[in-house]
Amino acid sequence: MVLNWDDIIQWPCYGWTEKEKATHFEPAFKALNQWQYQHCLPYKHWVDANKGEHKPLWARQFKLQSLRSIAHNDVFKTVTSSGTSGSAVSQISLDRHTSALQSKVLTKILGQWIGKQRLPYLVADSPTILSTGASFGARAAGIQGLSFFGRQRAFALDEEFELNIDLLHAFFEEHQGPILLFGFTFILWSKLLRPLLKNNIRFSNPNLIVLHSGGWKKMQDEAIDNTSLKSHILSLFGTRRIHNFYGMAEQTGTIYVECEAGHLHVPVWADIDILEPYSLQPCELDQQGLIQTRSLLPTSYPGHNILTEDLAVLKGIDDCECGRKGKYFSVVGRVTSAEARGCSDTFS
Amino acid sequence: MIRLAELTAFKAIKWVFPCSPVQRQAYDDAPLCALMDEQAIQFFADFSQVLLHSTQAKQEPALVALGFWLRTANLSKIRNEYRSEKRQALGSVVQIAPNNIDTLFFYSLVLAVLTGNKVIVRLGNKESALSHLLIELFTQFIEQTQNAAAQRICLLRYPRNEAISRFLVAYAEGLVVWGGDQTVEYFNQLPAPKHCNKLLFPDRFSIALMGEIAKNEISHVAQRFITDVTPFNQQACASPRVVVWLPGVSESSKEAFWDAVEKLWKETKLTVSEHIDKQVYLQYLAMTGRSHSHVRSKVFDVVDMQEVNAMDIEIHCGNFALIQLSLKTLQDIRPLLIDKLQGISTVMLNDADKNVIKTLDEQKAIKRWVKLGQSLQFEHVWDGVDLVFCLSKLSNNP
Repeated sequence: MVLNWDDIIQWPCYGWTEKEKATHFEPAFKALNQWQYQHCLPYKHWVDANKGEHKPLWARQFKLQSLRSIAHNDVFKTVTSSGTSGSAVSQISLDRHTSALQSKVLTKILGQWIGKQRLPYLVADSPTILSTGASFGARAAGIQGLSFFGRQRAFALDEEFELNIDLLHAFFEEHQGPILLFGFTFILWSKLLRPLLKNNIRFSNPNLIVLHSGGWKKMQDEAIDNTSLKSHILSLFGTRRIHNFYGMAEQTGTIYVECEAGHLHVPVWADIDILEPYSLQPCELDQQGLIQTRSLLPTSYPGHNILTEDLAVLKGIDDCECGRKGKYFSVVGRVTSAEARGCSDTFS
Repeated sequence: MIRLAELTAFKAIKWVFPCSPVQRQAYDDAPLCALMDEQAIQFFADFSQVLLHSTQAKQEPALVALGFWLRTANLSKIRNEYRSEKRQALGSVVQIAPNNIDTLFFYSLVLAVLTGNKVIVRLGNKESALSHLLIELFTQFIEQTQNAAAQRICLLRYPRNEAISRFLVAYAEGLVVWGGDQTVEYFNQLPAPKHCNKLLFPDRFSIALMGEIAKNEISHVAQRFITDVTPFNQQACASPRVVVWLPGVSESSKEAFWDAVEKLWKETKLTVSEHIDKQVYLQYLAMTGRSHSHVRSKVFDVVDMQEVNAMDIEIHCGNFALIQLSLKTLQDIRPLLIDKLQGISTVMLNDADKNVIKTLDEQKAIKRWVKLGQSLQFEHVWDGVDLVFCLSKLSNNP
């Protein structure tokens, strides 16, 4: 094992200032860099091409090639993510070790927001999403990942992805205390919230905790932003405990959760940098740039240092009004694909 | 024959030309025309004057090139080539223009009209500034002209819509689709009439093949190279993506060439997205372990590769990324002679070497030989397809 996770897992999720964190995070990350260099040949080629400098891999690289740092036989499961850039699919190879760590860290992070108790778990999706065979989609992975926090799991959508109103009534009737509701942002909105608004159906549960994640592009098409989504959820369920989070299949486990003040927080096991898109130099506070995301989790594939095509701004360090330490940021959107693409598809 | 009156049932269609019901009726009533009809040639010759005199168009080398190609002299030359052929129009020709638009779709529109057909062009939904200008100038011109050829042209747009595409293809006697591969495949699988002539132009790549350049020629060759590579941010299929040096060319020549290219390169600009596409590609090449050096200039990148495989080519995105390959023997060019290859643009290639390469090309992958500097010049035999021939058929009454 490259890192001492018995120790690392005990780090305080949001408890260290940026300076304190760096003294722990950077040496561990350096060790992980070396480990990847020794175990993944394409990654080694990349570092060698940069004269020994460990520059991030573009997230899209996982769509172009199969990147592993373990033997083929040690692949325990493969997570796929379609993402939005084109029709290709990312392939993330996990061994048992990485997969178990992902769950552990995810549990640590979400525990900060949900508490330790297992809550009745309502999924804003259809059960069919879980039955797609050996290759695991990111949506299924997310739903499964959160199952650690849930009990009596129920799906709000039926097999045809239509809202199951009867089930909802029964679920909210049975569980008057805290409930966990999870879904991908656009599905939560289009398949659950919007139909409820349309039919003027409301449930009152101020202890409902809503977690959601996923792209905002389709939401923008419907002119729904984070603020209006929150106000719709408040009007439908009477809860303010709503947490968006940012994460990706390439770094499952280390997610960035939105606090009460509306900022995404960096946990100690990961790091975010915002880079100017052309020069890849770090941006100033509040200056928009590409998200570079580092995580101590990936060992079975070289996904520990990734450059995304998501745009964000760094909002501050150590001084969020919610009291959590470390960096906090906001996601702005994605780089729009060029208007004029050579030999490009009319239908894409 | 496709009647525009029937297409008006599809509300998603945005009419670019003809816009009025009267004009659409004129289209529906217009007869097909003889091959290389004088009046049709005059029609495009008139538009050539528009392009060559428009202040805006004059700024765009691609539009100037189109203007020259449309002059009577050039069109008559093409007509003369087919003078002895007893051929006639197909009928309705449906064309799917690509998003990127280089100007290729316009050339095929011209040839479809000159071969006597009635044409429906589906324009791309995302438009470059260049294609926007071309379409604007053409629609202004066509609205005003009295030339009957205008009545055989329809330009429209619609967002992705299976019903409309199905309808158009179902009645097309000729179908011209400019790539992406996915678009080509999509339209190719739609049911078409048995006698429909399909002209499919999927993604291709081109290479530059260069020999030893004399010192006093270097600037000139570099300029020709830039002419071929910079338009449309190197995304046109005919723009060289791989620079292949013939065996024995000295390293100092290569260096001098790139120095000259850098010096003569005029301002070019990539969008953030294009810049990222390029960085992802360059990273991919580095990760293969087959690239041994990477020369970065401010505006273009040259990656030395020991060998190149099909995937390296397939995911190349243009954007001024150049693969450099130095042949030890002529045989080393073989891996590039694949179906996706369109053309070879040459500098200092002697006939003997050219013949050797031709014999190596067992699959007939090379569809075009052209002098460097002329890669983007359109020819009516494109990508191995004789457009005049394929947009017409043997005459019924010889």
